[in-house]
Amino acid sequence: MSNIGAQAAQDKEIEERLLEAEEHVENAGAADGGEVTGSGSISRQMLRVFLKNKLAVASFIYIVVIVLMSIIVPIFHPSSYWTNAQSDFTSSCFNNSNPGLLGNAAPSGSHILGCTTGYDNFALLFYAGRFSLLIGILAAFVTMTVGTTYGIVAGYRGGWTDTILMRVDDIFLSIPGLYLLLLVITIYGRSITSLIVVIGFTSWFGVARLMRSEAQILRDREYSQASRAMGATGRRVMWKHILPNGISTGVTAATFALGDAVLILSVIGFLGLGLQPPDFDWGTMIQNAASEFELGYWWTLWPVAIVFILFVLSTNYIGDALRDAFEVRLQER
Amino acid sequence: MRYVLRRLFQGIFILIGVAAITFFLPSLYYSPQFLAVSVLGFIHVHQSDYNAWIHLQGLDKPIVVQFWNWLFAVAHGNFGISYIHSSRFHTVTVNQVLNGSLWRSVWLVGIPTIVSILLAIPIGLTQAMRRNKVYDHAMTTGVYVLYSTPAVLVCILMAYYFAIVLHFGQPTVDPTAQGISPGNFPSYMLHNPSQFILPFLAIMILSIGGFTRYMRGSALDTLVQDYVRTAKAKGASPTRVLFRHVFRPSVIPLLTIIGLTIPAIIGGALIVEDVFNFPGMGVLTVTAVERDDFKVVMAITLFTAVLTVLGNLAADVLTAIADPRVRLGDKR
Repeated sequence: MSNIGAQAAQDKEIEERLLEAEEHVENAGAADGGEVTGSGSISRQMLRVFLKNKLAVASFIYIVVIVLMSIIVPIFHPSSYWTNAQSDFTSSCFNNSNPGLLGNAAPSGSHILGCTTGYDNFALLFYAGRFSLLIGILAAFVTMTVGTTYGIVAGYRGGWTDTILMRVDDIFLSIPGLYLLLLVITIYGRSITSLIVVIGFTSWFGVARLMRSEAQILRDREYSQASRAMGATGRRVMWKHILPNGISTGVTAATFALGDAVLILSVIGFLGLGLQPPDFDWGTMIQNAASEFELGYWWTLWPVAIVFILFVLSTNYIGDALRDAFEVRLQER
Repeated sequence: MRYVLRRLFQGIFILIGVAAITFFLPSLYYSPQFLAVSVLGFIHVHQSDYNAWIHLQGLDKPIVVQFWNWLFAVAHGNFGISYIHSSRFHTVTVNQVLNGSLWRSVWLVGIPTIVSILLAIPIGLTQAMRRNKVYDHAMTTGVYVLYSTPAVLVCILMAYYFAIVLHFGQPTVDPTAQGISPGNFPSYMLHNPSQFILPFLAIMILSIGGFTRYMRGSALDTLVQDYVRTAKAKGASPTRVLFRHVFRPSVIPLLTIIGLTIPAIIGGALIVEDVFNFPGMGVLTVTAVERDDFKVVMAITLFTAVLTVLGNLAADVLTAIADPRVRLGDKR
């Protein structure tokens, strides 16, 4: 959302890659071997292609580390810490020379990333990570479930169903995502649950479009035709043949959806329209740090900025790598 | 021409759909009684007063009729009344709350976007011409960094490092700008450049990455075309090849991307406006959402959606005019 044009360009890119991959399938018999080398099962080859991409492996390790830290680090603080830290003037965040007056103690042995308005940055970073990741992952899950179902039904059924479903999708895509989101938040409130549902339900339109084109291709494959010829119902073909074979596109889109969900959560958090303290996500944390940062306390913003940017970048790199890895499978198919 | 008409028809259909979504989402949620209570309050108010108010506002009519009335009023530029700002004693219309903010935002978003498109075209073209040279790699890396930094951070970092550390521009727009009417706004911006330079730069930084990336890809696609090779083989100079054969076909697809990125630019502008305190729809939206003023949010959502649809429509029509392949494509 905040990367202007990112979404549109990304979707287009994924679609182009898909077409490219399809061409590979058509040329499967030809000498064009692509990146596939060696033997082994398809999943092992996919793993090999993924592992070859050093950037993606590093991104994956980074995300795993962030997830683990988010689970572990907040355990060391009682839950009352998050409600009291800002007004607990006896804490070591406040009793440090000049910046300590505001609770912005500089980085030191006891606070390795310094403090922001009474919170220890290191602990807050991963406490906020809990909310960002939880909401991000669940919202991405909602996005995928709704988008995939919608897209597959439209692509498989075709005809009038397709026309109507896709025109509705067009309409939703024409409303700038952030504004649609804000309209829904105005109405349905800002609890964690409603944020998950609202982010999930306002970001599936692109996924639906993608899955539709995938389903249209898979619908005419021999196995789908054979299944239909043997009397399978539409629902069975969609569930048993189209979904498993289209899942590669889905998983790739899900990775991007996770990054987008965390990003958009941070945007609404930053605008003060998301979680309210003592609940923090990375956006709320950035908002909390922004005014301190402008007073010159650089350590209030930089740690969360770096962790957050790297997280979003990582999801994008992993998405790219997954796309490449799945192309191996498309070539084999 | 038939293509343009068909596109226009689709555009109108989408506009009606957008209006329906922005109307029905809140209207099905809030009961008239709830709205009446929130405007009239509890004290010294009887149920008959609520009923009279509901009847006066037309909230007792069937929802489809209400939609039609709303659509009719909106078409005449009247967005209804704000239920949050209004009370028993005075009504505040949404237009009063908006107070020209929307058009001020259009100025803020429009000018830098056009500038960044004009910059992106030569950058992308030269990158494609010197593919895989140091210049290309340097630009690609730079563009990628711009493209993937969240708008929130771009704005905060700019406000601090440019305005406060380097004294380049002001970190926030002066509150007096609030009172300037949209018509006088461009001249106001020209007379106070230091207030507006940073938000302008921010929007440029946020939009140029995507455009440059796309321009480079599109130019690369054109460079491998047969007619470009033919032109080179016939001995045309590189400049002639560039302007005569590469320029037009690689710029035309950019039009579509511009249309597609309008929603994202408007979304990004929300953050830019919020950080720099620009008197546009950004700050307005945030306050409206905070106070659950859904009528104002509805108006803003509809306005941005209409801008998007019209932008896409204009992009498609321009593409059809500039590129005969698109126009004739559907007849084949």
